[in-house]
Amino acid sequence: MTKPTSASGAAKRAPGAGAPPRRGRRVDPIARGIWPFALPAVVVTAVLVLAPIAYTIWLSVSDRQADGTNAGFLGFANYTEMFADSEFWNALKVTVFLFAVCLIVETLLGLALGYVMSLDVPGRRIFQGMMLIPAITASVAVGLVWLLIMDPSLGAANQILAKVGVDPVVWLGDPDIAPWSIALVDIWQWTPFMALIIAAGIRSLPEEPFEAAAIDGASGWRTAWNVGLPLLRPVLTVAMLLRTVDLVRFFDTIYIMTQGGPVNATNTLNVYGYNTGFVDNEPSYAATLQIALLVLVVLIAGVFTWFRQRAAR
Amino acid sequence: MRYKVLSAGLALALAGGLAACGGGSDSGGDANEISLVMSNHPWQKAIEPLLSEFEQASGVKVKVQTFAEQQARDKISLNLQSRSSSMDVFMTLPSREGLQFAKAGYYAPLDDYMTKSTEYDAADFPAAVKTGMTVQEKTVAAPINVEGVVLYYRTDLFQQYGIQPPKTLDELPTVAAAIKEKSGGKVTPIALRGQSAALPFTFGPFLHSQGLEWTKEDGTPAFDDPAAADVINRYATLAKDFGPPGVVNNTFTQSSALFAAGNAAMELESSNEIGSINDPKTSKVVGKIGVLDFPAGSAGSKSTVLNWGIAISSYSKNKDAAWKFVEWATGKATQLKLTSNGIAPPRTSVAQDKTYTDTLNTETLKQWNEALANVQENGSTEVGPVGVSAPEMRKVVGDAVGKVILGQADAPAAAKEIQDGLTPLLAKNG
Amino acid sequence: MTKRLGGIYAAYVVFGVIFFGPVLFMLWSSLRNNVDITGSLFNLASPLTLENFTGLFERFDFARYIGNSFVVAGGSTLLGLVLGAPAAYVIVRRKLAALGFLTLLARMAPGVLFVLPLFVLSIRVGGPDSLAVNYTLLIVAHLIITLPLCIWLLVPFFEEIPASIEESTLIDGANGWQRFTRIALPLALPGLSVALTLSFVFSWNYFLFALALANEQTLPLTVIAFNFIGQGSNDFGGLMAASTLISAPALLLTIFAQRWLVRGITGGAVK
Repeated sequence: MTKPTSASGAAKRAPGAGAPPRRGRRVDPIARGIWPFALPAVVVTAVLVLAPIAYTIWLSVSDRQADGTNAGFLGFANYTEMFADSEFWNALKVTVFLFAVCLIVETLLGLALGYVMSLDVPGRRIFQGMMLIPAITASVAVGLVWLLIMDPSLGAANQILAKVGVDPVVWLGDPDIAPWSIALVDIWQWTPFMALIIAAGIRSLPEEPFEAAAIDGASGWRTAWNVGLPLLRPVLTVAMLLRTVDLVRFFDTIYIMTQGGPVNATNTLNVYGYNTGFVDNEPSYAATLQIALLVLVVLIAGVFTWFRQRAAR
Repeated sequence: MRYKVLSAGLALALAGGLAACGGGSDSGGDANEISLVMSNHPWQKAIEPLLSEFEQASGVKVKVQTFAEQQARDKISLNLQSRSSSMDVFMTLPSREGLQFAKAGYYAPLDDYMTKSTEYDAADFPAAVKTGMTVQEKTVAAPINVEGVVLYYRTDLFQQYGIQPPKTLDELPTVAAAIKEKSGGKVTPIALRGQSAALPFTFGPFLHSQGLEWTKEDGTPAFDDPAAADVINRYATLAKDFGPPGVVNNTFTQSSALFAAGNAAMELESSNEIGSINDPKTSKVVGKIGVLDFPAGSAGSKSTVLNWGIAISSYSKNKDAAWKFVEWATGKATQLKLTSNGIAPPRTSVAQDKTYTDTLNTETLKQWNEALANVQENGSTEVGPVGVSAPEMRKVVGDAVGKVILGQADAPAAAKEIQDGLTPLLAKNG
Repeated sequence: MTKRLGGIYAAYVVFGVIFFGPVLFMLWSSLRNNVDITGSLFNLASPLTLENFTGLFERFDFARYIGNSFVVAGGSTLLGLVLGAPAAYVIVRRKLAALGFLTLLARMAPGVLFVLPLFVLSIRVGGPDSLAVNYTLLIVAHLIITLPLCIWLLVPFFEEIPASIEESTLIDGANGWQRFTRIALPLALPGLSVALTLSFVFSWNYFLFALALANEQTLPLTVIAFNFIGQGSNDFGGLMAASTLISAPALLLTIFAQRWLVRGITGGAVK
């Protein structure tokens, strides 16, 4: 971080000069002496976020008992146990599965919906409003409503399928289908979110490259692929990064709809950690799983950011 | 520099706020106030309107927090794990978490309170109920209800198809098959549990009625007996061939919704579910429900009997006030009042009270009461394997049986999986 | 051209059914009787009733839960803005990537991780017993959601403000705080509206912290929604009515503040 004292020798810049100041040495005159404004936010974040993380790390290397006493430092015993725990690996598998399926489908479907939403036609705003709702509705409501829709015998989904002659689907009661059903709910909830970002991205694209492509006689699809997509990439990666962070921590709808079942088929790392802590009463092992999950999220987000910055260069 | 003043002010305000918070103590409220955490349950709905009577009579104020079952468990577990004195009384299932909680020291033993009280009359509870509330020779909770696995059936459908309700486990699949055939597959023959953590409650009666137990005398699992594989097979076949689609995700919620909507001919569930399937607001089949004892196996009809209890947290600082509440809530007068809201009384004197038996005025309720009496008399209190890891062990059983229902494993393989899965968990009991 | 328009509207219908259908199902179910909800979906003529909603207010202290949701979501949003806006300004003007990362970390940590630490804290400070402390704790806990969100949403808006505007005030001798409050903040007003709207919605929607921290008087809507399905009761009508009320801010803001919501969701990704 730049030290405020180093700002004393900052050179005067002509108003409107666009070049950013060199970091670390000189501080823009307008940036001088403002750093304390960030202090409250930093303190609050440190207390609210870093302290619980530190506490959880401590739990994961110590032996907190169900009765709230702590038998003391354990070293990495919990981590060794985790790597030998077949349910951990299953949970990792489920997490990666849901992450991959949801991200791919949400991106592709989001591109299609985003394109439709970006087009200027009468009624666009009403349509956009309707698409907005899934993205900002509480997961509690989403989960409970879909639970009713996906009821195998009474639910709306199977009644609709029956009308078109499809056999009833056991949405949540079959370990082979349940992860897909959970993915379906997530895709329903978050594709519009992706699409909104993509639509805004498309609308902010410059027109010239497309006009040039049209003059060259390129087809619509070719133009979209060769011109549109590369231009859209920065927007797309941010949207995907945001989804990634949430998908790796997949929790809400599973907690509400299946609690990890059937037969652990939807037991993501986050749900497994929760169950270990509050159902099995093993706070230390639960903390270990949470830390593993945090490391995974930071790693994936880090890799993503690295790719994004490399692509930007 | 104004910003310095401002940021200093902010920092001060923040620190002051934290200090003010720090000044608050974990007092658990004043001595005449108790906090009660309840799970969404017929008993909770019945007791809430009566609380003001207790408050007036005792001068103790009751703060109530009610959550759905899973959320209630989360909240109770959080309070206990962090030794919070802000929860004084909580609903508990000793058959599930009794040993786990008792070993962690969560329960304040009630024995002294019960013997000291002149009116309480703990001897009024049947022996099985008392056993269910006792862990390591201490009374950990006071019983608030009695429930057990019974078989509901649709009298109208059975009449229409000309079938007799099943009396034995051997008849059960035959009857189910007849329903399937005569309804042309339109009606689910039987709704029963498949969700792994919930399944042992309805699976247990199959085991016990065939003369088996969860564990052997030496505390090791009893699933190496070939008869155990047979029991698994019976349950799984019933669920797979005659249960509703998606049965492995089902528990009482789905089963009762199905039965109440008129889509199932039989429901194997807790006697509690009478509340939802016999309520005209949520059910289409009121007046068409028959209630049967659990079908008899080679060892007779041995259902599972379950008591919810209310316990006092060992971290409570108002144990005396908490006991006053427990004493009132599980005393004779209150339990009699609760029966008018369909809460089956655990007390013998209340169960035989004419005021109560007179309210059982429909054929359905009479049958229900008889089935419940049988549950209490002959049922096993072991809902699942008993131990510190009871919830985990139930999941082991449920997962393995679930695999057979799904056709992923056969019954002997499942029995072996249960045997192997339970062995280390039971060993934790020491 | 009309053919193209027809294609677009056909897509509108398809996407509308997929993404709006379940919302419509929820709204409709909240107005139907319980036995009809579990009955046929195609029984469009089934009677409509407000009983599910009136039932909520009769059986529960529902007005209180709604109020609690407002207090917690509103409080955490305002506090998030008060703390987040100056921080976002500093991040932009000083190009503090590290601080940006710190706030991102808050977005990455799984919510379950906070539950036990927050609960232990709440016990220490007497949270379960004092109304004021409990509300404060809930608001502060929800800052975990709103503060990083506010910062993330406000950064692009401060970036849009040309440095030249602020530099011109240097001559007048305006100090940092004056530049922030008199120049930057008014120019970032649209950003504040965006952050306000979206933070409020996300804070309103979150249930896990309230489940752990709230007492019987401070419970918000989201936690109550679970209570309709349980042993001996299957109140699907009440459940759908409660879900509708939980979704109400989302539905209303879509109608009245769509522009800000869209900018909030797309903010940070699209400049």
